Amino acid sequence: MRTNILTMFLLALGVLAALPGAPCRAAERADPIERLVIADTQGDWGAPSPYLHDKRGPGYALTTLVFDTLIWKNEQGGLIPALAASWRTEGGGYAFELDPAAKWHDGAPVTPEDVVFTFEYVKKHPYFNVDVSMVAAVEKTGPHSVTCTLSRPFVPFLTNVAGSLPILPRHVFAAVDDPGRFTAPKALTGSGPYRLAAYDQAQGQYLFAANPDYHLGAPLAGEIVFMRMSPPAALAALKDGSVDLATSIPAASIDELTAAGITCITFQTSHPVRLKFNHKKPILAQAAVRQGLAHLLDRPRMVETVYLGRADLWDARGLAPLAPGAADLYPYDPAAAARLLASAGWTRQGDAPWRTETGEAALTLAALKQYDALARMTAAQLTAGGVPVTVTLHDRGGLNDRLTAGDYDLAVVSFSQLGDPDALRHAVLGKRPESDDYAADPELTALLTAQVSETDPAKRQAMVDAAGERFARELPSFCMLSAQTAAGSRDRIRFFVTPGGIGQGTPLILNKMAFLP
Amino acid sequence: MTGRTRTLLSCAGIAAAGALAVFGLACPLPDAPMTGEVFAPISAAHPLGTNQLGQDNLLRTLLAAPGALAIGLAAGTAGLVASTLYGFAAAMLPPTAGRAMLRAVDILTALPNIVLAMLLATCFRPGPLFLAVILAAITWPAEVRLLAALARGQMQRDSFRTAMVYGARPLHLLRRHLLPPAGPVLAALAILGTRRAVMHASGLAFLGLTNPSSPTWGSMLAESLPLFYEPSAIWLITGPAAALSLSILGLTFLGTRLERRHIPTGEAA
Amino acid sequence: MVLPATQAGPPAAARAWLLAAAGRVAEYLGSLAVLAAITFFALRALPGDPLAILYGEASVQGLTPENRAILAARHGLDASLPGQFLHYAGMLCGGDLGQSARHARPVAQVIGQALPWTLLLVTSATAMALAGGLLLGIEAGMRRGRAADGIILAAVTALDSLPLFVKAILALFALCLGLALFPASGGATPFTQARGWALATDVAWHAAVPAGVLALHETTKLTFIIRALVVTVRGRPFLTVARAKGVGAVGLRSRHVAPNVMAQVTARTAAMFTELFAGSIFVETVFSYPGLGRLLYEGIFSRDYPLVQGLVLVLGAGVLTVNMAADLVIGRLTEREARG
Repeated sequence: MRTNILTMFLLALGVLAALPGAPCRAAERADPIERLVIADTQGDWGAPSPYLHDKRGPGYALTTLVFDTLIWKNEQGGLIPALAASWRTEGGGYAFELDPAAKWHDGAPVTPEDVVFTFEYVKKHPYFNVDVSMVAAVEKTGPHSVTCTLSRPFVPFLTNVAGSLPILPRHVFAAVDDPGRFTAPKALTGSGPYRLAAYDQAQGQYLFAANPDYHLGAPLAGEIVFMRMSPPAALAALKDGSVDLATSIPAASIDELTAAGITCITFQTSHPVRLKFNHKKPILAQAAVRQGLAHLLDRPRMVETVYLGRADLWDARGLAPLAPGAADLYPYDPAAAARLLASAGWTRQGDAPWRTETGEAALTLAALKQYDALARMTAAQLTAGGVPVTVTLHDRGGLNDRLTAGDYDLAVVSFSQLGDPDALRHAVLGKRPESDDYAADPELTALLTAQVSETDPAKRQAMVDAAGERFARELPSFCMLSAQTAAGSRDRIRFFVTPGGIGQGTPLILNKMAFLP
Repeated sequence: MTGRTRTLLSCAGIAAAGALAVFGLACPLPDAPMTGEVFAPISAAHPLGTNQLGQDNLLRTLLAAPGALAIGLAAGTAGLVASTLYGFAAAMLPPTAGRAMLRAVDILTALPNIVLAMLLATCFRPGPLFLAVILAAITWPAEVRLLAALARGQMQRDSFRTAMVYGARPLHLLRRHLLPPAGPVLAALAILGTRRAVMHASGLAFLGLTNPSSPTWGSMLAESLPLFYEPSAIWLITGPAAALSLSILGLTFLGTRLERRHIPTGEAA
Repeated sequence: MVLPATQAGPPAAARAWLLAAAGRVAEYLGSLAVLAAITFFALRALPGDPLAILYGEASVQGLTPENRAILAARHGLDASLPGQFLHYAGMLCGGDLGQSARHARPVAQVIGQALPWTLLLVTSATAMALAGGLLLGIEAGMRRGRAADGIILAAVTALDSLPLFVKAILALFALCLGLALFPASGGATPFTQARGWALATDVAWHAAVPAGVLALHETTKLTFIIRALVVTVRGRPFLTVARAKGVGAVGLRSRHVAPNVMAQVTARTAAMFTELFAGSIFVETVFSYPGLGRLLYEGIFSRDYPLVQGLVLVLGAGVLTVNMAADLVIGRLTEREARG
């Protein structure tokens, strides 16, 4: 194929050109890679600028190639310097020492004024991927230092704000009143390891060119092509070498790819699919009923059939997969289910459906169309256990409407629980349509609200654990399982999965540290 | 075949089709049971293998048949009724009103019907009945011009003019003078409309716009697309694709036979 | 609608022609206005809060009420429904299609980048379908009742009974992946430096299978119609005369048969355009081909109101233009037929 020959030719050129003057680095890849090709199922994630990118995870990930944050995460999930060379807690906030070598793509140096400006700008023009409501003031305290003062203690600040908020150049954005409409090429002036060289939005293709003056070292790949390819095309391209990384490959093809010499990186998406109970309805108001229904689900069977084994059972406590060897709080146990439902006042004659005081216990289950198979299996298992369930499928708008209106009994929802444990608070107390909005247990509410300002890590962990235990007992929603995803790589660059996700918690393989020496 | 036998046969045919439509829409068949054998290869027990949830593919294809045909029939006939009433009204009303009505239909056909289908499907919860309604809504403008022309042709006849002079009411004119001669054409159009509706239904299901409580062929094909990497995936598409092709083929043959006999194409003998 | 033939003297004739043309233009604009209004209100009737759908997945805390108010103001969704419509109508009269919410760029730009691809797909599919339909239809009509006719009809009917997306999937797996004769996705090789003929070849190579599948879908209907027309034309005297004069088979078909079916074929072409646009959604999905169909589908699900409104207007305008052009051409052709 033409692409293949072109890539090979350029590669050969690149290798030949690099040989005479290649710097001797003790890195795994000594020859610079001329061009790295990444295949993605969607391709177009918007222009990689903070106010222009697609609001979903991959849009943010591409933006982080062009724009830097103050700190970033490395392969172990630990915090490492990005624009800030060091940081420390100070008073009611944090002090950051910026790296003097950091420069914007147009040559201007990155100064504390840029950081101060960014926080002010984001307060005026909200950047929805990052919440900065807890930042009271940001001040320049030296030629390369900044101090952020918080209005209230917020422990996840370093990961969720300093590690997620892209810093904007003041000399570009100061004059911009409507960042959502600012699409001039200057909007893409960042300080990151790559610059956007070309962007074909209709075809969903990006060409990133390396920024050789990047303050943390010149990137390993001279160019990155990020393009849309349908899964069968991406698989074929991986095998014949015209694509170096496929961001998402179907689980069923992992075996054939491994046989062809492709490294398949499987990781957990940490998007637990949960069975959400409408606890505001009288029929599901008792915790015993919710627990009983949970015991009627055979989740290992769901993993085998719907996910073909590529999913992990989730711990009912909400934040982590079920650890191997740990006891499942809600195993498939029809006897326990019967006991719990009976204790809630439900009655059953032999194999007939369960009955409450008001009549037959028939429930409706609302789900997104993409969870069709899982919803049907859940409904079938509950019906087999004596609780007839009918499934209705919706698109996101329709489902949001039903959830907000309370027009459902059960729902299958899924959102991220990756990153800081504060995600549990948003899951239980949040106001999103998919959140539980559960206020019936004051102890649980108190624990969740308190943990976000508890500075002692050990005490905070204890609070989070206690909250998890209560959550699993009250069960406003039952975390069933979470799918794994896999990426295929030809190992020209060693990609890795960031524990805790990049930024606030995006489970993607595109951590820019992989591109740096 | 005498006229009476033919009338009896066509009545029986219509009755059977009507029963199928009502039954298929009102009582959707339950889904196939989920066995433990996921992606089982073809065998005596599962002639077309099983799918991801362990359901027998052949059984699901057969279970989908009444629903698919029912939706097609319901959508085809509903669309035909709508376009007949509209077309005949456009012909019977004074010329300016009639032209305006036809222009309105032209505007509706300017909108790619898939857009209208997507909007409607996103608005309502498309169970089988609503799906039939949506399909009827997107296919009814197609034959309006033909039916209007047909009605105008019938209105030139002496019997019609005489009836009008004697003060017959529009409903009477419609029932006695316009419908009977148009009968065979309407039958042909009904079959073709059913065929088009079955195609559209599978297309909409493929785009993920339907909400099947019982399986439909289009949704079975849509489910199989992400699973194309499974070695046994070929059996996931064989059943519904073959069923779709065969039913559309059958309807095509039936429709073209009726069309050839009754809709004039100026074909020389 | 055929423009009135000139009967009176030049000034009156010119006036009549102008009036008719003005009427046509008014009808065109009126249709577009009705289309815009229908789309506007239909979109806002869809369930769900568009802002929650657009921004809800941005972060774990979702959309707070303050942020929601800011966003509503930013996207013009805070006014009342009639107020929003008046604002939109005003924008349209000024030629501004608005800003796409999901893509963060002007709607005109988004459509402008995708439109050439869809046009390429649809026009090449139309050309291929016309060529194929004429060829097969004329052959089948000329050899009516004989073996060739039966074979062509059978093959065409069998292909016609496969839904478009099934044909697309089969073509993808057979031609692009199995035999690897054609590229399996994209409109052109990514960031190709080719220019001129090399670029044209690259683009054509990528478009071959998607356009071919679309064309196949329409060839069937065209074949039936052309066949029926040819059968009608076959018995006419002028054809017998031509055959007696010794005109060869090819000459007969191209110079004598084909022109007589063109009027009806042109009418069918206009309808074909609309169907091809609808079909392009499926083909763009299966082949990852850039274009308007995929934009429309995603736009509806992500509730990107300005983009969907703009797309429907552009598509509607395209179809109405094609219809108008077809009407003019048919008028000319029938005039010529009546005269000669």
